[in-house]
Amino acid sequence: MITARFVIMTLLVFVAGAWSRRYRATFVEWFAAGLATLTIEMIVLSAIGVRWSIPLLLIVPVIVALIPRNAPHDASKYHLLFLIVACVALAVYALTVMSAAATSGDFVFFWGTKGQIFGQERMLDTAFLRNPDHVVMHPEYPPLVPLYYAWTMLGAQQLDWFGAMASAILFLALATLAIRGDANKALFAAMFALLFIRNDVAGNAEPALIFFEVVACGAAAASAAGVLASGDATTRRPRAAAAPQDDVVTAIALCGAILTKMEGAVFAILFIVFLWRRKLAIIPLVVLAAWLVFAKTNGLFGTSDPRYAFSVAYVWPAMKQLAGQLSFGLWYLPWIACGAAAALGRRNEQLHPSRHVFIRRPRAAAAPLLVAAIVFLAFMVLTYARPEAHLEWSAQRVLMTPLVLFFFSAITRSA
Amino acid sequence: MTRVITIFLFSLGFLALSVRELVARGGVSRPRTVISHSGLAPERAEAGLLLLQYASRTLPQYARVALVKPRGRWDDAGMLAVAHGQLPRQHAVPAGDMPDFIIAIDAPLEDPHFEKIYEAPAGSIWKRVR
Repeated sequence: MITARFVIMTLLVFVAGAWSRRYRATFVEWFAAGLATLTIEMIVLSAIGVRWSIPLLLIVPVIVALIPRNAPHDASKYHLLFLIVACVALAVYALTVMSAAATSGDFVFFWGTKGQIFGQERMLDTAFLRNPDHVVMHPEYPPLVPLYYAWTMLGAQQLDWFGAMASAILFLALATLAIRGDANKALFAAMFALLFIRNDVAGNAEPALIFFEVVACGAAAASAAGVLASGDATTRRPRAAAAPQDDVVTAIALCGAILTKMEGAVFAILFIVFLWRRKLAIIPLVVLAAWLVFAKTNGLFGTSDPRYAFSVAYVWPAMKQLAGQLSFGLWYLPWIACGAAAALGRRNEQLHPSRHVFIRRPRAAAAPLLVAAIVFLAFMVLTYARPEAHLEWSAQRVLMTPLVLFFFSAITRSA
Repeated sequence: MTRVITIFLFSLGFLALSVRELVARGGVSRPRTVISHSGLAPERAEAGLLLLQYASRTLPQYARVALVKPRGRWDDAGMLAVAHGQLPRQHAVPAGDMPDFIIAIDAPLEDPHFEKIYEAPAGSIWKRVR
């Protein structure tokens, strides 16, 4: 059902991100770097009126990737039982998606449609987006996902809709692989597979957003800890030079999140303010500013639905509704699971040092991540405190972002 | 050890709930469209997309095609968005923009300028005749 073109073009995303190996990025992080790189290139080329082509988009990242540099990788030990649970969870999600049983309606309305249009035009077609008839397609939304879809159909006339839908599986699998620790992998995969199914996110931007957020959290938490351990945990051998490389990966992932969804920009700003005050934070902030300038100068904001003003009178109702939505319809189990992982972690530290995710100062990142999650929730309340807010439509999808922050706070604290 | 067991049990719980969701949504199947088992009315959505796929295959390339719900014209903008994605060989246009063809979903088109050329469970395809 998925075309060979879609598979090849998706594999080429890894090629486009291979330059990040210079910063000791893992294979998973290559994909994040590739998507961010292609998106930025596609926007820049559109801005200067140059139509996309595969060689044109790949030439710069490939040249950078070919510049030699040593890039040692950490070996990882896998705990078989947890790995099986993670794989089964991913398989269940894959079966659900490929049965077209968890597809987002917005995929057909605008995520896939915009990819189809951009791919045909081989440009980020701002004139199309500005057209008042197309206002329901959310012209102002960041374009990474449609641009990824457009990338996969360069040279073809039609988007591979099944392939695009299946990319949600890839994003969840890569996000799972980006998490350190076998038990954490299993918990994340099982929890988010369920949430992805319940929220029908296949084809829309949430899978990509969660992927970038996970990569950013993982790299930044490692950087905050100073030393990253995976297979090296048992030997307690420090990866002394890890921090700068992790910072590059974090910057890439934050760029990806910003270019994927509005919530990604909020995530990135909170992430930088509370956890990641590094020099490289300027890169995602510049990308955010550049996207806003591009959208503004091309009139993409002016065409969106009328925005109703924030109303203080709606803050309390929004809080109450959000408190209900926080349950995910699952009796608050995702939060309880993360909380339990955090609460039970310290005792485990003495019993099972070999299971450590981070070796030294792991909890440095736990509190800022928790604070960022809480502030994100407060931001959601303010966003929804409007008379026309459709909280029940979107809240559980948006809540996956603070859940990622809470998850990382939990596994970092318990390390 | 307590943490490991706890995480394992939570993971198994989430896994079981995922399987339950999959079963509740019709189990594993080979869908005909990307939304065959999704949304509030999957059968209607599937039939609609199949009609659009037929139109994409059979209508002339570059023809101007509008997609409407005659009994739900408030949703014209949404229908236009869907048409843009599903009719890559044709030009999707608003219904009021002199289309060569109109695809009417759910109900027949009541416009003397068009005559029906195809009918399917989800709707019909109409061609401009005058």
